[in-house]
Amino acid sequence: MSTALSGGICALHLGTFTAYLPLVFMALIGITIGGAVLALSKFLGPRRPDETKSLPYECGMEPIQQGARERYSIHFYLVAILFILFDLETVFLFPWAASFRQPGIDATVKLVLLVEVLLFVGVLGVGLYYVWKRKGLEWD
Amino acid sequence: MNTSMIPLLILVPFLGFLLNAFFGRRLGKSFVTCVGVSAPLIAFVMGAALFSNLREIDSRPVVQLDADIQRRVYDAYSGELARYELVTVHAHGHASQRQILRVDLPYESFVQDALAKNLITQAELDDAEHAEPSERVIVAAGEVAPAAFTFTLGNWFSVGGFEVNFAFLLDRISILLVLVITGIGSLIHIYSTGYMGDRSAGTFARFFTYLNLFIAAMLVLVLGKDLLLMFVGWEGVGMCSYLLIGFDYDDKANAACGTKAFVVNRIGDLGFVLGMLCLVVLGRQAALGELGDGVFSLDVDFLRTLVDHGGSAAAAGEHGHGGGAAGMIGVACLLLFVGATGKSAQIPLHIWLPDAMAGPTPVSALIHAATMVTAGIYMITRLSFLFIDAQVFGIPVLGIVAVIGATTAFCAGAAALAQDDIKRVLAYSTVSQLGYMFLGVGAAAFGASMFHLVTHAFFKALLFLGAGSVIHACHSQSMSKMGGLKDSMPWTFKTMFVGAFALAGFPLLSGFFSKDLILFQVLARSNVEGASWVWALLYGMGVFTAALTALYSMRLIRMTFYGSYRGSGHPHESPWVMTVPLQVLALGAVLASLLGWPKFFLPASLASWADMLPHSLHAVVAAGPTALMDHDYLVSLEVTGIVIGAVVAVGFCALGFAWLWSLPPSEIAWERPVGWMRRLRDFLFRAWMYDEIVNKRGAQPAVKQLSHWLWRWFDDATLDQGLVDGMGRVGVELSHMARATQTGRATSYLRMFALGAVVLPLLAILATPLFTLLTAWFAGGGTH
Amino acid sequence: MEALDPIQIASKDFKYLLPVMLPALFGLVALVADLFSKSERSRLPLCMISLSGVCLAGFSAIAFWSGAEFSEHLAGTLSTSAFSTAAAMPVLLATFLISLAAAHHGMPTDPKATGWLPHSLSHGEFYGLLLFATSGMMGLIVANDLVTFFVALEVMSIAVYALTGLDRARSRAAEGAMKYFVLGAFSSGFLLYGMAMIYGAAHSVHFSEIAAANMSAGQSSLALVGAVLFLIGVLFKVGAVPFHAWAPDAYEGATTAVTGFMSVGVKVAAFAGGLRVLVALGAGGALNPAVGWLLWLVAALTVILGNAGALTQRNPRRLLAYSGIAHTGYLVIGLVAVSRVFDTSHSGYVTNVGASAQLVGVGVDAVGGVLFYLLGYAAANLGAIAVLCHLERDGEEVDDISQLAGLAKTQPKSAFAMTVAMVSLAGIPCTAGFIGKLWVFRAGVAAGDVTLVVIALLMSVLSLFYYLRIVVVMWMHEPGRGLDGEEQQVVALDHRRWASGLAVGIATALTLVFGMYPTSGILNLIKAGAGSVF
Repeated sequence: MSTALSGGICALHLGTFTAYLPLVFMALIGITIGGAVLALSKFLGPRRPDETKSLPYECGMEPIQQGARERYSIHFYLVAILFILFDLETVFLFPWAASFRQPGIDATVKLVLLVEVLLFVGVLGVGLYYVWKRKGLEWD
Repeated sequence: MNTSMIPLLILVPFLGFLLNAFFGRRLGKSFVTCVGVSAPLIAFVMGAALFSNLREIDSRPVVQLDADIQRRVYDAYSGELARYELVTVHAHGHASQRQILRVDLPYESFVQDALAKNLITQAELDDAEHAEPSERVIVAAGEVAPAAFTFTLGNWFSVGGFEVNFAFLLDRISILLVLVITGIGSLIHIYSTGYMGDRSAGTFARFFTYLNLFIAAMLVLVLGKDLLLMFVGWEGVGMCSYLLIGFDYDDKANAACGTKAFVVNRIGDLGFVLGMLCLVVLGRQAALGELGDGVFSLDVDFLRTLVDHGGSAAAAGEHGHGGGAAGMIGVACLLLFVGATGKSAQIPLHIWLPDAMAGPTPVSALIHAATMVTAGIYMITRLSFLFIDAQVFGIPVLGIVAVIGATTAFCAGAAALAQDDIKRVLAYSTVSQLGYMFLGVGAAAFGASMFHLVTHAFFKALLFLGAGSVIHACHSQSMSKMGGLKDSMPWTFKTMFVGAFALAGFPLLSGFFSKDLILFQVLARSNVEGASWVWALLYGMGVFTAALTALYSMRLIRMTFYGSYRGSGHPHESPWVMTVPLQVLALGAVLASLLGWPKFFLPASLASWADMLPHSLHAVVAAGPTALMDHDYLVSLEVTGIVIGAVVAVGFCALGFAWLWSLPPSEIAWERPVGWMRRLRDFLFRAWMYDEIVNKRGAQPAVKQLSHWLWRWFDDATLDQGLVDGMGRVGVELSHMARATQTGRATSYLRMFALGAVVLPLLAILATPLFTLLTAWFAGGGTH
Repeated sequence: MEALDPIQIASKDFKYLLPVMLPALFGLVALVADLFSKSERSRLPLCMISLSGVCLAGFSAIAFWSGAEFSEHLAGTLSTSAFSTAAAMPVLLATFLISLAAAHHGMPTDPKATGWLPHSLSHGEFYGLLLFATSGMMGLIVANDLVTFFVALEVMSIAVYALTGLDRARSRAAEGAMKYFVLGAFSSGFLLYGMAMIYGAAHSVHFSEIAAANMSAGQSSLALVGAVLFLIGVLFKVGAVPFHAWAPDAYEGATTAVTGFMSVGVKVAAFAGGLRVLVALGAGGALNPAVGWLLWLVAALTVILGNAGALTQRNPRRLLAYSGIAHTGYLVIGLVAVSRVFDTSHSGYVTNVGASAQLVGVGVDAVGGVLFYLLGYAAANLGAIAVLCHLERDGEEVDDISQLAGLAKTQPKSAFAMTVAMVSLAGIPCTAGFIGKLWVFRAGVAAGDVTLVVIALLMSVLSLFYYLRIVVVMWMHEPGRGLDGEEQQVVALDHRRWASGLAVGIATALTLVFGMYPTSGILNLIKAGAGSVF
């Protein structure tokens, strides 16, 4: 590196630093604003805690479990994951359907698009079938 | 010609090896016999086919005429039958491009046609035909590179421009060796089926497994175009030799002999490897420098261009005397020669060969007489262009080769005179004869050496197999337990008789011509202008050794076959599978002389037969200074040499008989255990006390002391305690540190990750400006 | 609503996707096939499905990818050349050999016992995940934009996280998988952040456009930070210091076969993908000389820490984990050499105008070295892993190298294979490891980083100790007698385990063949691949 950099460079390049100034300013501004908001709410906001307010849920019901660190059944996660999966499928299918209907797409491209989405749904279908057969959808 | 036959040639014995190795024990002796014997036989047939192809191509019509006659011929045939070609000629150690005129007509019809058309006169034709060979080599404009087949199987590896290919070269030199290896090898295989016949099936299979592997490895050695590939074969035959010397490893002594051979050969191989290393270094320099493309190898062709380049560079005075490329070539050649002394049992590494006789006798015949031990001579001949001008500190390397060869020939010949074990006589004789070959090589008489190699292969294999037959009959190797076998073993006697006389150089037998050709070349060398007295001395040693050779050959015959039987049991003739190879070899030992009858021995009509084998090699090996000598003078020297050789051989054979004949061995002063002769005999029996000197007084204690010293101060103190232990300690400390960071807590891993992820971008951003700042600051501080 | 730019996709382009998609397809097949196979029956059909998927992917990669120049397909999401094929080979080799090696996992030692052990690797999930991960790896190799790169990386990573914890009965596996996952998610964050910055600087996610963007002009710090963050993500995947901490725990926790797959497949794919991005970033002017020195630092730390860490390990998987870190370090030397190509201060050339031919030559050499090194490392490491798989009995794996004591007497073939693997990993001549090291080190020297290569050389001398210790234990100790002379159970030979035996044989043969006679086909592929990168 010494040979790399010493050659020809003797004067100090202020420009090298100025290029990084925006970055420094951005960091400073970020820290300032974040800190300021936290500090303001701490100092300015009224703070009158009572028992009800300190409960985990404020909808008036006593929590059934003693503490939030209790374990849920693993099945919750399984179902949640499966739900996200099919949720995403829907999210993906809507824009697909919307763009599929657009005019001006020729037939072969449409065919390709159709095959693609069928593949996508098919893969998900295989997954569902698999989960089903492996008894992933049963609670016990 | 399908050159892919060349790798097949190697593959056949290798297949034999595989078959015998994997199925031999299970499928029994007859299977092993079939496979083991047919493998070299098939290889021999293939070799013969390749040989005939080579000859056929070589004998295509090539007209060697003056330039104006060539022009006339070319005009007459106007491009259809005649054409100019550029050929690369390898002669005198240099490659050069020459233009030749090739006419596509059989030679005779061309001559008739040309005479009829007045393209050429009879006188001109006579001139061309009767141009002396030595002249032709030097001045003939049309000299053409003889045919050679190369076959490249593929790239082995290439590292940084260093290319190594599986390339094979079949030319006049290697085909000679191929025929010897497979031909004599086949005979020895056949013989072995009888000799090893009484062993168990497993041992039998193991024997032929090794033998076939040996043939394959030897063919790799001989056919390898790349020095490294040659080295693969070189090591392969070394391994087979080791395995076969210690074949009966139940006996510790045999195993020890194998180990000795192996260790001594490793010393030589180190020389070989270092020599190759020198050439690699040289090749790299040349490839990066003037040769250009950055690709270099140990290929024979590349080495040739390297030598040309080095030669021209030296001539241009780019390098100082003895330094630079030329000096490096000298060092490389000397190191390669060290390798050759190991493999070919020359002083100072000759000690393993007599002990190698612990192996079964066919092994001694095949490996330790006919083929493997000649690898050194072959290697130098193959690299003759490299050796021819090589010098180390102004001393020509070939001179060193010649001195070593002559010394070995003499010392081993003398030692052979005093041995009692019949195989040890032959072993020392082999060392001695190899010394002759090195003497010839040293005198740049490569053709003569190869001729002697071939004849020696015949008669020494014959003698070993005969000795094996005798041992087989007497169950003893000691000649004092033999005697009077000529009646009970007629064929063994007759054939060995021929072999012994061939070895002794008895006139008209093969050994006579080949040995005397070498000696004549040495004699001629001593008459070259400016030659030192060393060559005359070497010639004297050679003649003296020839006398010794005649004496010990006669002694062997006398002790073994004449007189009365002194051993136990009733020896009788060996089975036909053993005697037939003996007969064939005996025939060969006589007829091999035809390969090199001197010219003045032959009528003019048979002139083309003269010096056939040596002359066929002229164009492929480098030419020595004797090639420039006056022809008539050379002929006179040759006649002188032949006469001296004949007189010595006949005289000492006769002397040997006269001296040894009438009396029973115990009465002969030489054999009697009294007097000064006994002391001399004892001295020679121990081969000049060389082993004792090496083991007790000289090298071995010195090496021990050195190794102890090295161990104490270098290995133990510096390496073990300093470097290894030190590194180990550092390593263990580092390891503890590394383990300390591996806490097993994911949070600490995350912390480490985050630290790295913050530090690295920061460094990337700040390193350059910081460095610039520091440099500027230091630069400023320096100026103020 | 305004019409979107129609994306032009030629349907014949889909064939370039085959090597990526075929493993995934066969993974699905394996997953479903497992539903129909009875647990007590052999799992070999699943292995066969996996093998055929790998072979088909390999053939299609050779057939469709092996161009001399990179060509873009499917709207520029993929680009393929001989480089892709050369990088795909070790990945597919890993999947192939691990499929074989795991085929008998969970087979009861008692030949009379019916049914296989629960939680064995021969379930459909194992092969499915293996093939999904392979699909991700292949995608990573051919990705031509940052989005594809990220998707492929996640496909690979998530499958590998799951594989790590597959043997969920063992708490170590769960722990290792958790650590790997958490740290992996963390690193993905950096990777994404880096990608965002690169996009900001280059205004494109396509590698070719990133390479053509002149980022050194105005957006240098943005691009630079993006590049470094991106590299951090890649360095995490290959296990380079200081982002290596997951590796020993995950490797030790995972089942041996998975360890082998992770250590080879992930590394190969991440290096191949990382190389392409590095070259694109370099050509686009996003790197400054400091990046080369950062990689230098990472390489030095990685070889030192990897080798030092391996020195005192007795668990073979943990040892291989540290040795894998060390090998990452050697490979990063290749990255250093590549980054030097774009080091403007070295040559005085303006990057975008064109680096000097000599420097590009160094880069090509470095890429070739990395590719060959990966291949040799794959063969040797998988050889060692396959031997360990071969020795597994009743789900009990070799957890201490003492258990290998006297293996040469009880199972000479396995001992020989292990010896070859160790010798190759140590980089001793006549093996693939030696040639790979030589190649990479030579590139390092050519790039001017002699000190780094000397450090690496010293450390590879140190590595001899722990590699050869295994050899010594196998050949010189008595069976049943461990390192400290303690009693050890002798692993008996089981002739029914032909599949893992076959894997051992293939890996050993490849290690020796690549080392002694690197066939010109492979060499040409690697050289062509390396040439196409710049």
